[in-house]
Amino acid sequence: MQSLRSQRKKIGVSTTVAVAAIIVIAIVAGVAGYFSGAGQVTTTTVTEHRTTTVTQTLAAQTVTVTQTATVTQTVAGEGVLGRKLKVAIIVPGRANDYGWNQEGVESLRKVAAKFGAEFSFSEGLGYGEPPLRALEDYIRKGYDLVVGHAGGYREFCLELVRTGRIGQSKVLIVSEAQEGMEERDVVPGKLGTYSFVVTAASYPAGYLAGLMTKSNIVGIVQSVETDINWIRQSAAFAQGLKAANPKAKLLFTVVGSYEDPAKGKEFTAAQIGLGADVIFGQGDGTSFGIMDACRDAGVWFIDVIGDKRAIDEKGILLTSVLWDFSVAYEQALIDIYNGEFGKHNYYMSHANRAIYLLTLNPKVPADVATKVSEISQKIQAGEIKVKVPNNIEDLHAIFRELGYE
Amino acid sequence: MKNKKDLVELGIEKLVGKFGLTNLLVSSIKPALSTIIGIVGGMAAGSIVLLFTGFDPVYVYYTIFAQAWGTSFGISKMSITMMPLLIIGVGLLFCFKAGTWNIGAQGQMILGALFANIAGYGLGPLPAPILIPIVLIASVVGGILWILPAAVMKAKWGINEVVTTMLFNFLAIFLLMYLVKSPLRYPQEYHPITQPIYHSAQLPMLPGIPIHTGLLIGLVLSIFTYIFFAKTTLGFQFRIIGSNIKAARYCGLHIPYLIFYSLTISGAICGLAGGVQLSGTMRFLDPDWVPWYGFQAVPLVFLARLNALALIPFSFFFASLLIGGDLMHRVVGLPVFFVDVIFGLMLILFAAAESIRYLRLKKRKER
Repeated sequence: MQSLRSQRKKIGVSTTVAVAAIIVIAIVAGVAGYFSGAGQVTTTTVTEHRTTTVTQTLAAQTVTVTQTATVTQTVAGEGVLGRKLKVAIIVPGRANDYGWNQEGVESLRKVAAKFGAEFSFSEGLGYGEPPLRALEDYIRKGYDLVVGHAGGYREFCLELVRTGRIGQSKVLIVSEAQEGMEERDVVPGKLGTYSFVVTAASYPAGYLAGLMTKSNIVGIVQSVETDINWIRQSAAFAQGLKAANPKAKLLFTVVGSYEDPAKGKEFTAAQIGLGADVIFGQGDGTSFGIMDACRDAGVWFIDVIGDKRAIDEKGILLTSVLWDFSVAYEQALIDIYNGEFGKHNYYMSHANRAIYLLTLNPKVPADVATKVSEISQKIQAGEIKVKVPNNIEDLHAIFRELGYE
Repeated sequence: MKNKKDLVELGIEKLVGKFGLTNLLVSSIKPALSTIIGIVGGMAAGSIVLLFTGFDPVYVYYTIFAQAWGTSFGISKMSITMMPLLIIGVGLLFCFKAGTWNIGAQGQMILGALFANIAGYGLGPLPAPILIPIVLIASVVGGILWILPAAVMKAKWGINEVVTTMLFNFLAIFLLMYLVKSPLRYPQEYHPITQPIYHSAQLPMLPGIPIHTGLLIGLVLSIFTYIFFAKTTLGFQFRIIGSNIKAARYCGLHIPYLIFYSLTISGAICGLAGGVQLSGTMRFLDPDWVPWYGFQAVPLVFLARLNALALIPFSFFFASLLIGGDLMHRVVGLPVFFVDVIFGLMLILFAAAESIRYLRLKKRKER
């Protein structure tokens, strides 16, 4: 055996050869396997009765969607697509964060179910090459709508559209547009955008914080300083706080990452150490750390986007500024049927019940709840004007104006 | 030497005849046993995880490899993903062979990409034959700059390079965040990204296939590295200090210089991986971009048993798992993170097999 080993070494039959042989066998097996079952992976079901399903589904929209009558007529009359829609969403984080990623995925899933559409999602893609790959994968599989659910996906989505690499698919991306601003990215029939008018719900959240604080110190813990929606929510929250409780102080901290719960907890604990007894946390995965710190210290926590009541063992969740993406996605699908996709931005706001406050914690006194409800109605009626920042400098200017800095 | 020559002349067929096919296969596979145990065992252990979570392991693995190897899209994406793994793997080889540890490939890749981005936009729309080499050289400079402090500290004062190179990863991540959010921010984007590089700074595609030329850079580098370690004096000196530093000192080799060179070359190549990734695939940088290739390539190098040529099939295999896993999760519905579980299991089993091999050798020596 000893001589065999030395012989083998001498002829150079080594690791490389052995491993290369295994890999070649695996390649052959894989290719053979693929061709023997390729249809299984890529089959698309096209059936006539889908048109009927869509018609019925759209007819059920009359309560919430203004264009329903037209849409129903169009779909029923022409059967625009005449087949099952395929929709997909790509998200940067994990779809179990009770926030941005999970709400995005679940909202599209809900809408897809309603429309009888085939649904798929890709999570944990981060930024850089993986989300682009996922988008291209959906496009090559002929998905009708792919949602790029992150501000950071805009540039490569635009590039794909510009260079004509989206085939027959349509892409929906996040925009910063507010009513009255230019809707710069939309490309009819190809690229749609959706954006968030967040102030009308976060102002009452700030108002609630102002009424609930006993120490007169309230904190905002924001995951990143560049997120335009966080910036706008923080501004509205601060204005609401000032209106409810002019004596209250506001602490403002930026964690620096969407997905760093440990750091989120640490920074929140620091604010609590300074006396804050209501924390407004904005931060996808980071929110878990913020909530943890609030739970440990027994202080109120106001969340954003998702509903964390299921994991709120100690009942510290005061409320949450909920974002229901299904409002935008539903309208996008209707517009695809209608041939109207990509002609305008889809706004999610308090007005179309896409952004609103979660039912308040049962421990909130009735008079406080009533006041918050009144404030919400006033905002919706346009009686209260909320200043909207467009960058972090604007936010700090608002803080200075309010006397918080 | 005479014996070797004789054996080559005998040829494989005669060898098979002399020793028997089974014996020859066994003796060939034995040195790679830890690697094979790692890969096969990792996938087998992954099957148990799949069974417990209600998925059919055969269908999952079939889908992974069918998606990666059985579609032109999979092959193209897999080749693109293989590129950074291969280039970083080669970069790491230079220090691992020399007995030094560069755990900062991630940071060097970030700096390489940053420098490439600055050059690819800052110099204006120059013609591609001028701009592309400049972009790649810039990325090499970025990688060198990022490993230089660790290399100097190790060579001059013997400060542990594992700690310094690893800490420089974090510095790179935060530097990227700062630069992308402030001075390098593309003003037309509300989400912070850098200014995209000009199209003339992008690596061209290989003729007829949607794979950029970065893959060729990786393949050429690994072949060059193999020759470097097999045939050059410097390569031989790296191997000596990596195998036995006392013997190297006794031979009169200038160890601090060799350590410095090994780390610097390693950083340069890892930086190049960042430049190729930016120029070939990404075009711009996001503040939250964290290239995990820097860490994924570390076990790859050991699974390839520090062999530059073996890195090619191994990076191919790893890229297949990564891309196949990514494409599979959209077909099967299994979370993409399962691929990370397989990688982890492979490493654990590889490490266990290596430990057993080491203990057996030790026992044999004692006897």
